[in-house]
Amino acid sequence: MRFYDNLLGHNLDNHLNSRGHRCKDIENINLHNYILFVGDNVALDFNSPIEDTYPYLISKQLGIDYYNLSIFNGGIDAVKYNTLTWYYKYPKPKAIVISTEFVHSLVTAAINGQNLKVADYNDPDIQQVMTYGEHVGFFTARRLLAQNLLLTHLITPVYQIVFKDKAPLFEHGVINIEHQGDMFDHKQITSEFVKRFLNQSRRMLP
Amino acid sequence: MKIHNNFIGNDSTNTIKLFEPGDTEERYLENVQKMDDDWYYKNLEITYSLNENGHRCKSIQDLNLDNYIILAGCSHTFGIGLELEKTYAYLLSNKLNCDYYNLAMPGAGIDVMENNILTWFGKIKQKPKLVIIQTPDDTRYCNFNPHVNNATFIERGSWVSDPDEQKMVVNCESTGVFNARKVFVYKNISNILGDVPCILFNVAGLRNIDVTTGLKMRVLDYARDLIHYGILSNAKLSTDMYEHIRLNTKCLNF
Repeated sequence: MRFYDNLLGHNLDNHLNSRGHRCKDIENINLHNYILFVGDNVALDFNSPIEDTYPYLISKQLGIDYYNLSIFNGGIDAVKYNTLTWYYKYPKPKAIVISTEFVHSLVTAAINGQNLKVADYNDPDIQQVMTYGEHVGFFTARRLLAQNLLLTHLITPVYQIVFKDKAPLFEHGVINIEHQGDMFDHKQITSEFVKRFLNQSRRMLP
Repeated sequence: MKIHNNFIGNDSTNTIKLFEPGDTEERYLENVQKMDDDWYYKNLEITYSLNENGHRCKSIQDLNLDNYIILAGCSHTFGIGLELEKTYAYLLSNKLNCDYYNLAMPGAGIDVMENNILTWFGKIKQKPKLVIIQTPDDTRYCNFNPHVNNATFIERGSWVSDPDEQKMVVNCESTGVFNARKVFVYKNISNILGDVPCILFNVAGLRNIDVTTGLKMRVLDYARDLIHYGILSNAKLSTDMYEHIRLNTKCLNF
C-alpha cells in the first residue's frame, strides 16, 4: 500500500483506480451527492465483480454516487487515517458507511516509514502481537481512541455494518446495521442498508 | 488516564494534586534523604493543578483563543517534578506574550498525542498560532483496562514488567508495527493542522523521530523526582525555542 495525494491506497493494478481504490476516480465522482465507504475486506470483496459489491449496489439503488476508501486488511489505522484525511480534503459526503471484518488488523513499515504493508500473519512475532495485544488491552485502547477521534470530527451521519461474530469499530455514536447472514451476501447488506438509510433520511425531513 | 470531553487527560479533573505518578511522595521523601540540605525542593511544595480535561493548564473557557499556542508531548511537557512557572510551556508562552494550552500527558505515547491534538482541532474553532510537539518515545502506547478505576487508559512503554507485554513491545518494534503507526500518526496530524505552523522537538534520551528543527531538550539539571529534566533544562529549551520561532516563523505575529 502507499499514499496517493495523502490518501492511503493499494498498490495499483487493473481492478483499482489511479489512487489504488476499488471505485471510480475521484474526478469522476459527483462530490455534491455521494456516499463514502470505508472499511476493509468485505467492502472490497476482490473475489467478486465490482458490480456485485454492496458499495456499488447501494449507490445504484439510491442513485447516489460513491467512493470506496476501503483497504484490504488495513484495520483501524487505515480506516481512521483515510476517513479523516478524506473528510478535510473533499466536500462532505451524504453518509459514511464503515465496516470492518478484521478491526485489529495490523500494518507494518520499515524504520524509515517506507514499505507500508499488511502484517504477515504467518510471522510468529506478529502472532504474538495479536495474542498479547488482545490480552493486555492494547487493541481495545486503539479501537476506543479511533472511535473517539472519528466521532469528534465527523458530523456526517455514520452507518456501521456490524457482522455476526466480528468486532465492530464503534460501540456507540453511529447508526448500526446488524447483518446476521453471510458476510459476503452483498445483496442482503444492500437491502438492509437502503431500508435503514431511507428511513433515517425521512426522519431528518422537517 | 481517562477521556474527558473527548480529550485524554488525568483520571482526576478540576483538582489540585501535590504528587503525580513519576513524582510520587515516596520518591520525594527518598530524594530528601539523598540530597544536600540546600536542595531546592527540600521544603518546596509543587502543585499539579488540573483543569476540566485533566490537563495541567487553564480551562479552555479561560483561554484567549485569539492569541494562543498548544503543546503536546509526555511528562517532559506536562512538567513532572517542576513548579508550573518553571516549565518550558509556561516560560515560552510568557516570552511569546500569548496564552497556551498544554495537552501533554505523563507517560503518553504518540497515540495519546494524536488523540489530543486532533481532538483540539475537531472541537476548537479558533486555531492556535503554533503547535509545539515534543515527540514521545515511539514505543509507548496505552492499554485500556475496564476494571481499573472505573475504566482507565494506562500508559505503557519499554518499562513494562509483564513478560507478555514485553514480548508485545519487542515484536511491535521488530515487525515494524510501531513504524507504521508512526507514519499514520504524524501524517494525520500534518493533514489536520494544515497551514498552522508546527514545531517538533525531541527530548535527549528518548527514542524519537528525526526532526529537522535541531531543537532538543537537553539535560542540564533534574526536577524534584531526579528523573525528569529540571529548571535550567526547561529555561534553556524555552530560550532556544523562542529564538527558533523568532527566526523562522515571523509571520506568526506574536
